Amino acid sequence: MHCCIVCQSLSVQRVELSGKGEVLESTEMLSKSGEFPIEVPYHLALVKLDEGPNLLGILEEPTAVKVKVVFKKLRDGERARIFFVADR
Amino acid sequence: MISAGCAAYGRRVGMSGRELFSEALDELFQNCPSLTRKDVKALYLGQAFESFEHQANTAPGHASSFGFQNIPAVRVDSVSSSGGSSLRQGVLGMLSGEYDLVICGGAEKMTNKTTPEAIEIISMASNRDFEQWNGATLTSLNAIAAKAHKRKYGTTEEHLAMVAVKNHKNAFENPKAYLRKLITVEDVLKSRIISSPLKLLDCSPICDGASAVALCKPEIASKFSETPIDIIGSSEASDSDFVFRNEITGFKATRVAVKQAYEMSGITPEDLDFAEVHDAFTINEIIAYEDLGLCEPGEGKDLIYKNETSIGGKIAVNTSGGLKAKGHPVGSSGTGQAFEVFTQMTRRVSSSRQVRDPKLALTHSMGGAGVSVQTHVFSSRS
Repeated sequence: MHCCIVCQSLSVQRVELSGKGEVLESTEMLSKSGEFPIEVPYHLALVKLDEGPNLLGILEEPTAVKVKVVFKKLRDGERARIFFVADR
Repeated sequence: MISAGCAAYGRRVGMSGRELFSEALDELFQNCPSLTRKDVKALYLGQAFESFEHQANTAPGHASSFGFQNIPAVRVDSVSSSGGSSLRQGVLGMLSGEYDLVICGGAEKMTNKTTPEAIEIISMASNRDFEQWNGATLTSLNAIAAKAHKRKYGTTEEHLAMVAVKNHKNAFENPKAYLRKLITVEDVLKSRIISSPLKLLDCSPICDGASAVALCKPEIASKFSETPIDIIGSSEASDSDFVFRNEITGFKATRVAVKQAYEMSGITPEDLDFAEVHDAFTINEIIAYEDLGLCEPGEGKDLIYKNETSIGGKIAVNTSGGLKAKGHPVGSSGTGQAFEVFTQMTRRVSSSRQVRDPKLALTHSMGGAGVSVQTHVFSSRS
């Protein structure tokens, strides 16, 4: 995002986040895009980070509520993808 | 709106998007004998995905294939609401004064791909970096909305199933519909999970189809039709990607668009006789009731539970069967809704499906998970 999602200000900068957050909702997926390199079933979660923004990613422990982000490169040469693990 | 046509939705094996569009145009011209191809000054085509038929810039080919010579022919894409955007562009073409008669349509060929391939293509309707890349599909975004709606308002899987049951019942009587099969709440609940809590029968089917409507300036409409339909409200709005939104139990783009459409047409939701709303997933119809002002937020489940959106209820919704059961050939769905308005208001539907004395109707088309929305209000002159 190139603007603030709350006030639309363009005066934004990159900041490092804690990577910690809370699962808002999750869904168990039994159908997926052909190109996505993980087999179903998997759980997708919408997570609110402690600093405010939301992220979508794979929830590795379906019952976790407090989670932290783990970036994983699934294939050489590709960008990392977002996973959430329980934050104990 | 002086005429409309629609190619039957379904698995149209051996038929290209272009051939299906010609089929829709054939019916449009049959329904309006005084209209000739030379009367048409421009053509707008809703068509979402280039990858199904490996074809870009589809509109000129679709137009020339039906014998339109050198007219402006423009493809419009807002994914699932491409047809709604096509209609909106036609209205703007009229309002600009540039054209006095245009055709707005849509076409999508989808069944030539396997389901995983189709989902891969349809997923392009969501954000590449922050949704698709991390495993999301359109179904999963709507599943998350359904879970949030249940948590906030108590909308259950049974309520969602009732939407599917109603829309299948309407589709059963519609010769243009793909899923002409009566189902029960139990059938929906027992169908396989796609993305919990959404099951197979909560989801609109991948299918082929095309539709088209003819619009002209109001003052020349009587030259072509004894029963022209006035478009008295037209609006369009957008929103950020689903992942970036704080509110996921409603779609603000719908509320923004429909407010403008009601103001432009000078009506309130209570005045509507029927509506065709975006129901790619059953939860979308419940949310649409709320965002369109047919009820208060959180009361969508009560409308479906009390049968108030069935034909004969307070306001009939998705008399065609909706995207859910008529089918969702993406680019066609928006103008397919307008085709339903045309057939209802000109009494071309079977008596079991006919809305009583339909004078005012709304169409609501949505692209992505609340990313693009068009709303149109139609008024019968008869």
